[in-house]
Amino acid sequence: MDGAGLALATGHPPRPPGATSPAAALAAAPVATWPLATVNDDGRRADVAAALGTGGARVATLLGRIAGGATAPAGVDIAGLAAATPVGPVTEALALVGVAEAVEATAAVDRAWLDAVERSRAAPRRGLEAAGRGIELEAALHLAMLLATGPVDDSVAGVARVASGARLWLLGGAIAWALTGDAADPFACWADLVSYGLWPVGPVGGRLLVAVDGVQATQAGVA
Amino acid sequence: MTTSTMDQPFTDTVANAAEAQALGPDYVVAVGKVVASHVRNELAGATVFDEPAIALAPGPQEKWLACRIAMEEYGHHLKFNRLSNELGLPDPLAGRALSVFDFELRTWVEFIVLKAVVDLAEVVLMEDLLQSSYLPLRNLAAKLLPEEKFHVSFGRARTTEAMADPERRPEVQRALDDLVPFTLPFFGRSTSSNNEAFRRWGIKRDTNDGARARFIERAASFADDLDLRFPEVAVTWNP
Repeated sequence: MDGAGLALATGHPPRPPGATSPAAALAAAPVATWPLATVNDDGRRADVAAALGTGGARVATLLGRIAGGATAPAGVDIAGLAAATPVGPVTEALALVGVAEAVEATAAVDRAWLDAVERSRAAPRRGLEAAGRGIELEAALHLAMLLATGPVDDSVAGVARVASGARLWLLGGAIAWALTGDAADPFACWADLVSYGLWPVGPVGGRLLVAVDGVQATQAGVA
Repeated sequence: MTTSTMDQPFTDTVANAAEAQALGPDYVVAVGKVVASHVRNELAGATVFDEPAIALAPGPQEKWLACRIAMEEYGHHLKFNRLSNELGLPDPLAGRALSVFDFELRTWVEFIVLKAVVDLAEVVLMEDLLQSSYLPLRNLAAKLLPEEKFHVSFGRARTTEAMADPERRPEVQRALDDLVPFTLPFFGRSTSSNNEAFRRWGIKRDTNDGARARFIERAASFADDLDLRFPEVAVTWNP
């Protein structure tokens, strides 16, 4: 249900029959607003953090930022976050670039490095499912995609779709890792960047690229 | 008007689920079958083809476009599911997805040809829904068509790129040969009581063979543009 306590599917107070668990209810949500919560037959509420269990609070933080269109707060160390890539630290200097430039530059992304990110992205899913947390994973990813997959303005051939796809790809890994509750979450720093509306591309041609657009691009003086 | 026959098909529009219910169970069942089919098939497409393609993608841009496409198809599933919920239909996922989703995707080339061909079939079906008597379905089709058309154009552009490499042309041809026969049942049997009901109620305009013929014409034209051989196929399908 939404923040006003109304069912997301109907806009009316929730009615039985419901889902088998709070996570199952979230996984079946037809739309997502923020904040949202589940309610059981006794009227007890569970917010997203509680419904997802271990790691749920971190997931809720990330989703809340995305839902609210958060930007990086002043003082956030973007260079430090970007350098802590999902497959280990890199030493290239940070370069904030526009989305179009980032998309053009991605042709030169090191494929082996990208493959390693792909493996890291996929790694927590098997563990979560083996631990019987498949429904929590499904719910978290479902909400993330509902909140993060908006329409794109693709007036510049494919650029917006590539950028959106890249952020969704990273977000999928970030959410799965966050849900593990693992203190050594390799996606943690990039998860913050993505949740602040940034797109960490990675090391390309001796630079550590992070793409920015909208207000953040203006503030950073990026064309 | 609350009845329809093939001689006097239903020509009104139906604004929402309440009006559909007021028309009676025949209309709800008919529109529900169309909606439920899209609920299942959009999810199957995202799960069976698009999600695995992310890992098959040869480069970063392809990977991220595949990811975006997967999320768009998943979003389509959710939007059709909302229509299903509004109509109070039983769980649409209890039914079986179309047989095209039995195709076992193994390579990136298969994926890009699949986008050009199988998603074209989806475009043909959605274009028919632009005239649907059920306005929520008509409006949803209008909203989703640009994304479906992008998926086709993505497949065409990438297939065209692949054809520029002589060594990859046989692989593209094989993918086309494999995928076209898999796609034809997408449109249903030539003799179909369901399709008769859809047309009687103005939910669809095309016969199954009519839609299949339009698909074949457009897919063959695409193949011809790339000097690909289009498989010999029939417009009719009655297994």
